[in-house]
Amino acid sequence: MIGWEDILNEFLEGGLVRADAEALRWKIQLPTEARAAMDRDLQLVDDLGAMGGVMNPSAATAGAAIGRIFDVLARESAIEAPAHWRWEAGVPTAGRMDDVVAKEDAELAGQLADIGKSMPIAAGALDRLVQRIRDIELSGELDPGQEDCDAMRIFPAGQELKFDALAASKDVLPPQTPPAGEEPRKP
Amino acid sequence: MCGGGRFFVEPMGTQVELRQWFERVVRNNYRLLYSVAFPIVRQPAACEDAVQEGCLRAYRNLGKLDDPAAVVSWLVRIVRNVALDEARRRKIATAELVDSPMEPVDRTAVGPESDMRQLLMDEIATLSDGLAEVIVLRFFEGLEIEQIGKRLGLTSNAVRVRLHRGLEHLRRLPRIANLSEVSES
Repeated sequence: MIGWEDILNEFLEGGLVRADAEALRWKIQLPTEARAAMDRDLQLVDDLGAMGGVMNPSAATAGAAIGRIFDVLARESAIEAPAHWRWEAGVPTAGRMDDVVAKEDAELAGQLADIGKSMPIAAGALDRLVQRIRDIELSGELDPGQEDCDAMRIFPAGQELKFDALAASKDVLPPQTPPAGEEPRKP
Repeated sequence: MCGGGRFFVEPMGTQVELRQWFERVVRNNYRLLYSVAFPIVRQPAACEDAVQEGCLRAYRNLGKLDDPAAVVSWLVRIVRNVALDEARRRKIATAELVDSPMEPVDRTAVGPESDMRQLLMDEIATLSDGLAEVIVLRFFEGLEIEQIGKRLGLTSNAVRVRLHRGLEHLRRLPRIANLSEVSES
């Protein structure tokens, strides 16, 4: 059953106009306390309504003030929106953290896909390199000392021969002696 | 691109969107912000300054705002705090601010309409966080519960609770209390 308080609350919440509340006040036989409560709230709403006119700026004043605020904002350095906001038609909404994680996952997946796309290129380059080596072998372009193309060797065979020749020659620098009073450097 | 020897670096992408969106928020809610600050500072110029400073602080801290739907409530809170700081500062700077909302109000002496307004402003100024904007939107701007909820990013029930808490606070005004006494007699 709807009581007078429900009607009053409906009026205070904006669901009813003042006339409805006034009608209730006059039509229904209300206890004194209830009538006083209604009068009090109706008066309060009147006072608040009157206050609204005092506390609101005029349109011209508000327009000028808003213009000044925009000028100040325009001079501010650019501000970054929070990362989890989503923009649709110039209006942000809060994305959940799950969405942020999902977005990062998608970006990562995209990066992996890019790497995957570049892999065939690398594989193709390797194939071309192997083919080139085979071509060189077949054409006999290699020096006699460089026939050994063992990948496990540290130096090409020809380079090793050069080292051997250098070691055997007398032009090798003598071992360096440390200055007097200084301990020889340990290997 | 370059005029008068000065370079302007225009923010790109969402930075532009962010500023434009914030400007719309300020434009659509200026009256609300003003109405929340006015009972605290009581002077139009000081009120405008408080709203401007509050908007600037809010803009600088937008990165800390979690939910953009709550921007109006957040902005109101910042403007209100700026206005309270300003009222305190003026109270310290000048001893003339005798009707500061921080001062206890003499509720026994209620006379003309202007005094009633002063008391009502005092009460609105001392409303706790989240109540003043609901009262302002409901009774100054005439919005309904659902509209207020949409504006402030609140559920209708939350708005109802705040509205009735705010009204309960305002009902303590002496004239209104006197009115009920008159009716009873």
